[in-house]
Amino acid sequence: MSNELYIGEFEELVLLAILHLSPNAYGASIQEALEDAGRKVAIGALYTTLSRLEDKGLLTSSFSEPIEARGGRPKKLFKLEGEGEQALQNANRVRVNLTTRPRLALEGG
Amino acid sequence: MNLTEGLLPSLVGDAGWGLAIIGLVMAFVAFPIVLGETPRLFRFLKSRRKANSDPKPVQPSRNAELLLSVLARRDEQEAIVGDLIERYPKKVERLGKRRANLWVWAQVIHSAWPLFKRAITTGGILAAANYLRKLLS
Repeated sequence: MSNELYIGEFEELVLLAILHLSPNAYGASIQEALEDAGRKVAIGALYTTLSRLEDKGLLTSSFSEPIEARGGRPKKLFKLEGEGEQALQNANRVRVNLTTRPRLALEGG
Repeated sequence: MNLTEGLLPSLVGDAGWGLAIIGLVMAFVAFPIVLGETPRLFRFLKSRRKANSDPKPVQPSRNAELLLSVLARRDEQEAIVGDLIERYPKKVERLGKRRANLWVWAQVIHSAWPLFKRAITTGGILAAANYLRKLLS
């Protein structure tokens, strides 16, 4: 069995949102991007997923300067690492394999 | 002579009112300036001016902010509450204040279990006990 890293469906969506929002990916912007894409998520649930992805080494985070519009609170900015991109590619490859296989079987039939 | 009807009012008279006004001005304006403080009257007027010029910022419920920050991990507290504060005015604009407030509380309620579960699974029973103690204190 290969030691490639696989991720869950929601983790994949979060990584994709970060990839698109980079370099301005933080809690509120990720949550908004997911909502716009039709996936509602509570901010706390999002942060638990983000910290799990960070623990897996797929993401890194840093804090911005305090911002007036946020009541003087900083943003926690997330950045996709090489392993994160690799995990996204793996997930995509598996999906493509699974979705094309029945068709191939039928065609070869 | 009756003091209350005759002598006292005539002694006080117009000069008395003048003295009373000077006394009030001294108490509320002159003495504080001498003592190096901003007179309370000036502070009041300044705060009124500021209140009139700056509209009240649109902010989510303080209780919701507090609860969310208690539930969150220490290093994430500021960022999570900041996210809530940032998104709230947009929600008010789009949904109205009542539904925006409902959205805020839905965020807190739906965040509670994932955040609590993470506290238990990452830190064990001791972390969960500390977490509950923090929540109840």
